[in-house]
Amino acid sequence: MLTARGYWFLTLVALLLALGVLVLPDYTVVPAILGLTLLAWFTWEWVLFQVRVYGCATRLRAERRLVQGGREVPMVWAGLAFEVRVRVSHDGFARLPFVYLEDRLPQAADLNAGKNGVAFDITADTPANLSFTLKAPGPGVLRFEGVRVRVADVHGFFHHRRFLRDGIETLILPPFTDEEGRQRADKRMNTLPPPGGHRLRRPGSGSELLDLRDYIPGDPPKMIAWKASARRDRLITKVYESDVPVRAVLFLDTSEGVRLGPPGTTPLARMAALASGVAQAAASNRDLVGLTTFDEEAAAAMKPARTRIHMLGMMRRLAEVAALQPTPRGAPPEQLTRRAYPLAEELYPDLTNRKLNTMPLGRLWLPMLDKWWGWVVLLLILSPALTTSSLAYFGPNDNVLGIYPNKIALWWINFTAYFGNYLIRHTFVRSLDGFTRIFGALVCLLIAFFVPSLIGGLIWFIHGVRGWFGRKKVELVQRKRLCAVMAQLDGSGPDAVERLVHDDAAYAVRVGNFLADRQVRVPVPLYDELGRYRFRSPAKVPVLAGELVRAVSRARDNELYVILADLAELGPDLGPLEKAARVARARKHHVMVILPWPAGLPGPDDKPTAADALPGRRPATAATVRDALAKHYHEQFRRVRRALGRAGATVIRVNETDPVRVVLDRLDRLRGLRTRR
Amino acid sequence: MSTDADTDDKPPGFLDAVTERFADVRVRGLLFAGLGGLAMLFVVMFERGADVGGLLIAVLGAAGLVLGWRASPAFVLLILLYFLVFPYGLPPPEEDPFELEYGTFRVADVLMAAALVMYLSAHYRLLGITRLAMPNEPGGFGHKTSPRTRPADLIRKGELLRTFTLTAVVVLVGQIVWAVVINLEVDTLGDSPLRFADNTGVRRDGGDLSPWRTRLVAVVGLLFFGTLFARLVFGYWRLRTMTPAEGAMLLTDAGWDETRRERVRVEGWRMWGVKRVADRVRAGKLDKGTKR
Repeated sequence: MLTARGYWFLTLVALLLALGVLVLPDYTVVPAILGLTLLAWFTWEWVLFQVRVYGCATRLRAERRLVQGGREVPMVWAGLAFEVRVRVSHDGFARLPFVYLEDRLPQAADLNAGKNGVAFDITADTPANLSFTLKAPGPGVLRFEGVRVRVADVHGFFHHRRFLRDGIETLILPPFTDEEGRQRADKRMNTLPPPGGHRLRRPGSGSELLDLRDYIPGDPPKMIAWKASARRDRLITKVYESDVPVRAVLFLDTSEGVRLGPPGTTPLARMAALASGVAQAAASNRDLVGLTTFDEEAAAAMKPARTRIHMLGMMRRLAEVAALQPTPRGAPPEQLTRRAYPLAEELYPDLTNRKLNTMPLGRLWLPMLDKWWGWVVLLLILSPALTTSSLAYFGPNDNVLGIYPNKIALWWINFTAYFGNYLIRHTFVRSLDGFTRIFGALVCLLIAFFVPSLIGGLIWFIHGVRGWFGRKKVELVQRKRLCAVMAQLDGSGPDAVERLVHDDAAYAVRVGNFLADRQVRVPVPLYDELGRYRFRSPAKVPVLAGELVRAVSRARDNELYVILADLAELGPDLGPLEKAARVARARKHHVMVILPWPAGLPGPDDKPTAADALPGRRPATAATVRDALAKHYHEQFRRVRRALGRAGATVIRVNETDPVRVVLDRLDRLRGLRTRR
Repeated sequence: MSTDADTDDKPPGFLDAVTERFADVRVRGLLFAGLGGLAMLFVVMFERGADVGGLLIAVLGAAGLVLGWRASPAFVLLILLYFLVFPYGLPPPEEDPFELEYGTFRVADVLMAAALVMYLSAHYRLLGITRLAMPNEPGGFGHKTSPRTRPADLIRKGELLRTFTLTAVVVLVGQIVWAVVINLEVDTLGDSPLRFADNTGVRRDGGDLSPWRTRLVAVVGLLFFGTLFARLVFGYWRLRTMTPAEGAMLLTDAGWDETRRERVRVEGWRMWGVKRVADRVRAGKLDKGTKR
């Protein structure tokens, strides 16, 4: 609570007071008076600050509102700026003359205008109002943690830190219309069937003529084609086509591999934005859209529908999955602590306070018996006692199992006696007289006898005390405090503290979840100990194939299945998906696969630029590696395209033309006509 | 080729920065209050014969006020202490047998104490407005630290007047406490271990302790019991304002501390078992799912 400035000032005042009171009063009393005056001033400022902290700062409350488009909203749209209004007030009796409030910005949005941190003077009647504008680049979840509060006195002697936790999560819905309200869909030709339907060449109640047939008794008279009947001289009935809705089912990959990357720009976020564009464009034409999200283990499906509630639910689902983060499996605990502890200290300053979250020195002591040689040292420490006990128990000449162990003990006694005698004769003890000489001789003998214990004790002390210093100590202290915070948040009590301290795997999972919940990127290793890519996720292919077959089994008419998945590295494992795609094609459905494409990677059909292919110039190592990786990725992509193309699926890349337009074109084809270019 | 636009884009000079710092009238008010305190210090030191010391204090203090030097109060205090003991700049100091007897409520001392408090208060307030008002945040993850200053808008109307009043009060308190301290005597056999001295002589030897020890006991006792009382009051207040989360953390930590030796042992064995099984699985001696 006392700042460095406060410490320095207090030290100077203490010096002035000590000299003034003890040394100088016979020469001048002014230093003592000045010291007491300054001490009184400092004490008054301290008391005032304490009163303000306990009377007001502990009563601070924060309220938050999000405003977009001039009205308060429960969720926001990506790509559009929105205003955050935070009101901080207290009902205390005093005034906080200098409070710095800083709203912690969510990871998924960037500051667009205004300041998120301002100094205020807060009383019960005049709350602080903080206002700034944010903009979220992509869909996801917007998590506000709360407001950082820093209270100080006007002189800078004291300082108090709090965090008004106000953890709320708001969805960032993927955008459909841009800032000018333009829809992404194109205008269709007037010859298209009414929105929401497409022609199915089966008899039905549509508006387009399918066929003419002979009249069958019971046909409604209005269906009789009178001109054709007159020409043929018999009653002919008109048969109309069926108008059935177009259905599109989106399959979105949410596996670990597509969650990697900076927040808001992960492959998953880009695919979610694409899925949102497709879904909303289709919905605006009253087509039915369904969504299935899948990962390595399970899938969750939403049946195709076109109601507004369904669309909102789909947007919500897309926003939620867009914010998913990779599980920190295999991440070293030290790295996790380095990320998580500062965050915990920032968000939970009350729980990481060293007065509440203690670390006794005894816990930092390094136990020697964890090492195999610790037992040797222990034997060394106990050797005098063991020797004496052995002699006392067995006697000097006892034979145990054919050996004479006490010969060693006797030798040891003789040696210590010789060494003690040497000490007596060659140290200051020789010059002592009377009782002191006896006492000194006794001490020399005891020292000689307990030399192994002293050496062993010294080794034990040096080994143990190392735990009090250095990087290891810092890591252990931070980890214990973090584990206590986790235990506190989970309500798992003291049991969980020591378990998390010891169990690296459990610690990694818990701290990883802590970071992921707060949208902090977890440093995950990309490759395992054998150098294999850890996020290939082949297990997602059977899950996806199963969901595709399931969708086919429940389909009514010709449907479009759009698979948004990262399959580039899964060429040899695509068998189940190929089979499922063949099943879908056999039932006259359309299958389209859209692969996310790494940012900055040229397409497989792009020609190398002139700068890349200068003759006589050796490429740099990084460029060579980049080219090799690009070639590898292109080859994988071609393999996937070939494999799925054989099964009748269309494979495109996310950054290839406009995927939304391609999907909508395909929907139009299903509807019966093409769009006009 | 230089143009007018280029001239306008030049970074502000040193003088411009200083002028900008005191552009606000409220900040200038604090500056003048600090300079006034320094002037008063100079006058009092001059009156005591320490004209060089007074001049040094005035120059150093004024430079610190204008330029925002953090260390200038420390130097001002040390120089002040030196020239109070050695008014003419050189040892030895002159012993004054009447200093203790007549050393309370002197006008010059009162003025000096008031001027010093005023100067220090103005200096630290100005420092908070122009340089740094609160310590930098610990380097947390994901945000940069920047020095926080107190905006001049937060200087309330009447702040200077309240500072004057507070200065008068603390000067009075300092004088009273000093008068009490030098008039106390220790009586180990009396009903109360401390009592006021009967005589007002130059050297009081009536107590059981020598005068400097008596002063030491009085000042240390005052500080000790004052701290104890404050700790009691604010400690209780802190407990009253403790949040449920803090209370739960207190209990969790106490429970962990009481049982940590057993828990360390149990968890050590558990992890040993986990590692042993993992090693055996890795070595192929044990398949997953078989009895361990």
